[in-house]
Amino acid sequence: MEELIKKAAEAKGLPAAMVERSAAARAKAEGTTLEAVLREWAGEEAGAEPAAEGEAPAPAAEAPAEEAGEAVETPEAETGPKVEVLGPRSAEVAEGGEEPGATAESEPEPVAATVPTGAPAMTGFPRWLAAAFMVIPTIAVLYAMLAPDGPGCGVAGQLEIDPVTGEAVNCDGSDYGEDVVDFFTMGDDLYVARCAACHGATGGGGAGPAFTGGAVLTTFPAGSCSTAEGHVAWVAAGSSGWPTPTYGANAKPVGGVGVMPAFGESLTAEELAAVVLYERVNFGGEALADAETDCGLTGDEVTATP
Amino acid sequence: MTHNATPEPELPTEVPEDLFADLPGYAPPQVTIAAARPYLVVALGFLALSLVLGLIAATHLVFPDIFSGMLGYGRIAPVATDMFVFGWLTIGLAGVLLFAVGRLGRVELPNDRLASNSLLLLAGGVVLGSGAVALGAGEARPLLEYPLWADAVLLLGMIGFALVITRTASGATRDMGPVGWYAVAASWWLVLAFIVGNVPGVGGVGGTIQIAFFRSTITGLWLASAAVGVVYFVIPRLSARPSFVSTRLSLLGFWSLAFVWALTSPATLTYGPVPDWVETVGVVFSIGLLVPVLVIATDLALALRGRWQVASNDITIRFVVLGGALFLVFPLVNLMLALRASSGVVQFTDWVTGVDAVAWYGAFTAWLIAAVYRVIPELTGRVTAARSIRLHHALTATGLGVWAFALLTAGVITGWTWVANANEALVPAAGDGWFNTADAVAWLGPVKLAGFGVFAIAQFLFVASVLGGRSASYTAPLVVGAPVSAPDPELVLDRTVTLGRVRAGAVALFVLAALFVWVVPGLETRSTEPTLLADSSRQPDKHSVEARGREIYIQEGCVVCHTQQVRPIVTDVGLGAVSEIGDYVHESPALLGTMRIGPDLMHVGSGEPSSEAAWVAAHLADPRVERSFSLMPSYDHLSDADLDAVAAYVTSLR
Repeated sequence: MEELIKKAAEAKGLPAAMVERSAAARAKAEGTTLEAVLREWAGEEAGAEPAAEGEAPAPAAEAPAEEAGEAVETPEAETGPKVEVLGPRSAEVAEGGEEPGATAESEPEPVAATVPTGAPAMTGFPRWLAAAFMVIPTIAVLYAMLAPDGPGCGVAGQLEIDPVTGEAVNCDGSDYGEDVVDFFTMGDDLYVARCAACHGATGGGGAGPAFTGGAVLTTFPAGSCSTAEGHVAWVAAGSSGWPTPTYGANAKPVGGVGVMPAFGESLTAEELAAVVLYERVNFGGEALADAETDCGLTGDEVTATP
Repeated sequence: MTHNATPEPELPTEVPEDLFADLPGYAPPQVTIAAARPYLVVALGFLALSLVLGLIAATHLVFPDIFSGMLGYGRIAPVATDMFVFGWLTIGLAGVLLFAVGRLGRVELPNDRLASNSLLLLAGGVVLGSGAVALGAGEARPLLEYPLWADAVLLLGMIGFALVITRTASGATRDMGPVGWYAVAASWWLVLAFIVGNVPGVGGVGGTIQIAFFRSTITGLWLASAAVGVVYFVIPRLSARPSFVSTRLSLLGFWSLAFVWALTSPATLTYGPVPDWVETVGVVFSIGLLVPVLVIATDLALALRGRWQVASNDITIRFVVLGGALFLVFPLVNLMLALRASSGVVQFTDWVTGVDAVAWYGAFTAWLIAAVYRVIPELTGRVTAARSIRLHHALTATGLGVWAFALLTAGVITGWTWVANANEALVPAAGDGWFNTADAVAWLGPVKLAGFGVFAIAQFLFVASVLGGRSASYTAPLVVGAPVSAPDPELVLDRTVTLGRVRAGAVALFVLAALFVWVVPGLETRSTEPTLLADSSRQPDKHSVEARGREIYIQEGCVVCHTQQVRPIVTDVGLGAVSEIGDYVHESPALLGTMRIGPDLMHVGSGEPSSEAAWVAAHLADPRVERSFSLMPSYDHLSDADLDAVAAYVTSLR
């Protein structure tokens, strides 16, 4: 045994203690005996080795030619392994390319069997990493293909550029930060979604009172949109939350025509004001500018001076 | 991937030194060792000095009244950063690489005079450049502030070092594996990156693209590559594995890093005044950067697999792990700057500094520290006590963690405040809008300072303990490369990757990247017609008071904290007309800036009250009279004429 170790150590050019330890680990990893591994390393057993060595690109010719190799290499040969390094296959290209069909995982391991360390065989690479190679470049390429010039207006915070002033503006060309929202349209949408079921799509009434024919402005006249007992307050509180038995300028009884739900929780203050604005303008015939002022929805008010 | 959980019982926990020492015919390369020693000593000196200066800069951001003049933030912050990158990291990594090549390749330096002269030039360049910037001769080009003559000295040192590494490596009698590839490639990348970064006379946006290209190549192709090479050298020592096992994975990691990293450079220009396709290239390759980083990290982890028991005996492994974790984080935080959706929030904020903290101060520094601990005993015969290494690691990890986390958090908060300001129609660049931002992140100021302070103190302890460690008889473990004469079949792979090929491939990839993301877009921006703005307000007449003001603006480093670019996104609403390539064609350097520690100044002259020169001059002299939250240093050391000149320049920016 001692002799075998010495022989293997000589063949490897490494200290005996190290070779013994490495061989033990190798034997364990491969499920063979220590002696078999040592024999293999010492070169006494010529099994599958020569075939593997024959496949390798002549090491002896390559080894001393470090500087010479540089001069001989054509640029084309250089770019071969380099350009393709993004995929797992390139590793084989770099390796010599004798086995184009073999994949990294299924590569037979006769070569690795001679690694002179106590390490587990470490050729090839983990499968999850191989998957990452595929996935990451794919994502990158997809990004380039889907948005070569970046996302369009409205995506990722991107805005339009006003051709005259050069400033960033909304995608429709309106100024950013001023009247960003069209409250009338917003109110229209909210009315259709939340109110039309009881008050009718055209404000003609149903389970709830009608708004048309001046009815809205009779109950909540101009100037009472956002007052304490005004239009917005009524929509927010509903009939169950209303503090007094009557509401509106004409003292209509609470619960007289159906039950008014409270929208104060489900709509924001801005949405409440917008839907009230819509009712007053569309069904009551109030001027938009007046109603905006009345309901506190003028664009100017949210604009602070820097 | 199966993990071997059961420790090998026959493995001794303490690897006997003689396992390595009894190799026949081994003699350590004394000349190489002697040449590497001064590199590390000088690097450690720069580390301490740059952190003293960094502390002044960090203190300034919390107590802006303490320092001004030469120690004002605009001058001292770039000096500190540049010294950290070129003084500590560059010279330190160079020293370790020199040592590693000599040791692994078992080769003596062919010319030790060249090595020591290169060090002299490198250190001289850093000292001269730092002095020049502190005295007001800086160039206002982030990371390239040193004046051209100081750059020339530094460049000569870099070329000398690259020659030393190449010549030493070519005489190697052992295959050095990945260490050899990274050492040779990185040293030439350093030279190329520095040359490209300093090509003079590139004005307009082309110059900004040039700086971005320099920034990513110096980070990825020099610092990261050199640091990875150093770790490939350190890990076998820690795990007492006598020969690294180089795999196809190592090779894949190397070439994918070489291919991808330089092309990530437009990542910092997202939404800026550059061609859209350039931004997209930056995003695409910033995503792709995950590939080399994952591959390299996996390869390094695999090299430790099954040897944790041995490696964990050495406390130095903690720095390797710390660096590895931050190395994995880097592509993610960098990607946030590149992706358009997130860059709209984090660009120009503390996030930018946070990315540097993760890479330069974090990953690369941690790996270099690990190497220094492993190498210094052999160089100086002094051993650092395990106790102080443990303390050093704890303080470094804590300080760095707090600092980086606070920076990234502050970045996100700042970005969201800018967006919120825009939605409330508050102009983020002035008055209430800027106050909201300053107020929202004010509480993080002391946290950042405390984190950086702990980090700096840890490094002071490190320098003191390494240079002043107790003398002890130290038997260096020997890590051998595979013999060149009888190649191991496993390493046949490496023999097809000769160092000559590595160098040629590295240079070729660099040139391709430089063409693609600097030269082509640079020429495109150069041929852009000047806009009305460029002709009217961005071209002060020579010898005019505005031109003088611009000179002082550059000299005082105003560009460190102020951008001059408006992006077409929500964050920048209210800052005025969106910037175009044509706006900058007359400027060299174009002062686009990278950070908004103060407001954007692209159109500051059309805002109130900043349109009045008298107000601006008064604000410069005493910033906190009108703006209590301002972090700007006081410029009352400037003469009245100079203050008026700066004010005239600033108000001319309409």
